Amino acid sequence: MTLFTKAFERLSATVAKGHAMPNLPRGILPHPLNTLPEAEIRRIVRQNVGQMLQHLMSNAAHPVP
Amino acid sequence: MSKRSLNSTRKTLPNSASAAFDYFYAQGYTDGLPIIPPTEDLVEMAVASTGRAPSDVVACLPPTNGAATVEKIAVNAIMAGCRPEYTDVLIAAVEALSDSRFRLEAVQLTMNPITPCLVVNGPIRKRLDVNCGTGVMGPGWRANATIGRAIRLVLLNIGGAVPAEVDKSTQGFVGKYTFCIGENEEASPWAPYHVENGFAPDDSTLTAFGVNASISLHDGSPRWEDLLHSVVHGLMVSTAGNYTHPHAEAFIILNPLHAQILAAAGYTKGKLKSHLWEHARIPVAWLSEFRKSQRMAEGREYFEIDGNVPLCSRKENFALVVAGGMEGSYSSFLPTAMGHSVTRRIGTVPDVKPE
Repeated sequence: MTLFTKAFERLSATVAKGHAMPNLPRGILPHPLNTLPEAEIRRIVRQNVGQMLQHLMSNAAHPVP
Repeated sequence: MSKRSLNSTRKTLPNSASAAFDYFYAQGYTDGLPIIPPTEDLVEMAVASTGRAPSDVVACLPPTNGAATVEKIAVNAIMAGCRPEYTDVLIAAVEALSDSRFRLEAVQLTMNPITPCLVVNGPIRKRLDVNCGTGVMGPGWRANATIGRAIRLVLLNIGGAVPAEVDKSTQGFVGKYTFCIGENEEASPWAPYHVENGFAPDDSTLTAFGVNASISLHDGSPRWEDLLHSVVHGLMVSTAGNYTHPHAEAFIILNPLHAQILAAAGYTKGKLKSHLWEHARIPVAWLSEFRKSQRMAEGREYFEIDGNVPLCSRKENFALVVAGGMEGSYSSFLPTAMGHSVTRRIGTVPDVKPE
C-alpha cells in the first residue's frame, strides 16, 4: 500500500497507475502534518491505523501484471 | 509520409488562434501560454525532419510512463512554436532526460523547484541559431525559447507532470516555462563541455542538467583574484541543494569575460574545479539541524572536512559551461539536488559515448 497526505492524492494515483498498480491501496492522511503537535499526529495515525492494516492485508495490494 | 501514418487524435476547431488556445488550455495541454495549433501539415514536417517513423518510441516518461513517440514529441514541438528542424534536438533531450542517471521521475514529482536546463553544443547551434551569447538565458531567440518550452510540454503532456497536482514544486520556477542555452564555444578559452566529456568538436550534443534558480556571480574587477574570490563566495549559499546533496553537480555558467580572465591567470577547467572544491565550503554551523541530518544521510564520510562542508563530494561534480556575452561581468551558479546531467548526440544515430 502507499501512505500519503491529502495534498499528494493525485500524485499518488498517477504514480501508481504509471507503475501498473492502479488498484494499489492508498492511505490518505490530512495535510499538513509537520505543523501539528506530536500528540495530534499520533492521534491521527491511531485513527487511521486500522484502515492501513486492512489495506496491507487485502488482495488488492498485489499489482496487476 | 502520409498523413494517415500519424496516429494522434484529430480535433476540428474553429479557425481562430484564440479558439485553439482556449481548447488546449481547457484540456490542460499548455503551460498557460498560447500555443501553435499542431496541424497535420506542421507535425508531418517536424517528423519528416528526423528521418524517423512517427511511431518510433524514443522513451517512456514518468510518472505516467507515457510513450514519447517521434510524433508526440513533434506535436509538442509545434505547440511550443518550434521550427520542424528543432525536432532532432528534442529527441536528444528526451533521450537524455529518460536516462536513469537523470532521475526524471524524481524531478517530475518533487517539491524542489528543479527543472531541466538544456545545453546545446556543436555545429547545430549555428545551424538552428541557438543563442550562446548575450542574453543566453533569455529572452529573444526562437530556438532557445521554443526548444526549452517544448520539452516542458513533453514532460507535461506525455510524462503527466501536471503543475500543482503531480509536479509538486512548492513555488514553481520560471525556468519551468523554458530553459535552453547554447555554449559560447567560440569565446571560451577552454574545450567545450561536450569535448570535455568525450565527444568530438564537430559532434552536436544536448546535455540535460536538473537545476534550480540561478545565483548571480557578479564581479566587475579585471583582477582574477577578485573574480575568483567572488565566485567562491557566491557558491557558499547554505540553502543551496548541493549542501544537503553532496553527490549532486554544481553547475556553473561562466560568461566569456570571466572565463578569459581566469584562463589568462593560468586556470584550466580542472584547476578551477579543484580550487572551487577546496574553497567553496561553509561552516557546519551554517546548516540547520534538519539540513545537517539530510546531508548526513548521504554518507557520513561526505559530511564535512575539518569542520567545513564542501559544496560537492568531489571536484569532478563541478560542471562548467561558458555562455553569455562579453558585456558586463555576470556569471551564474545553478544549484542542483538530484540526479546527474546526461549528454546525448543530436541526430538519428544512437549515442555511444567514446571511452
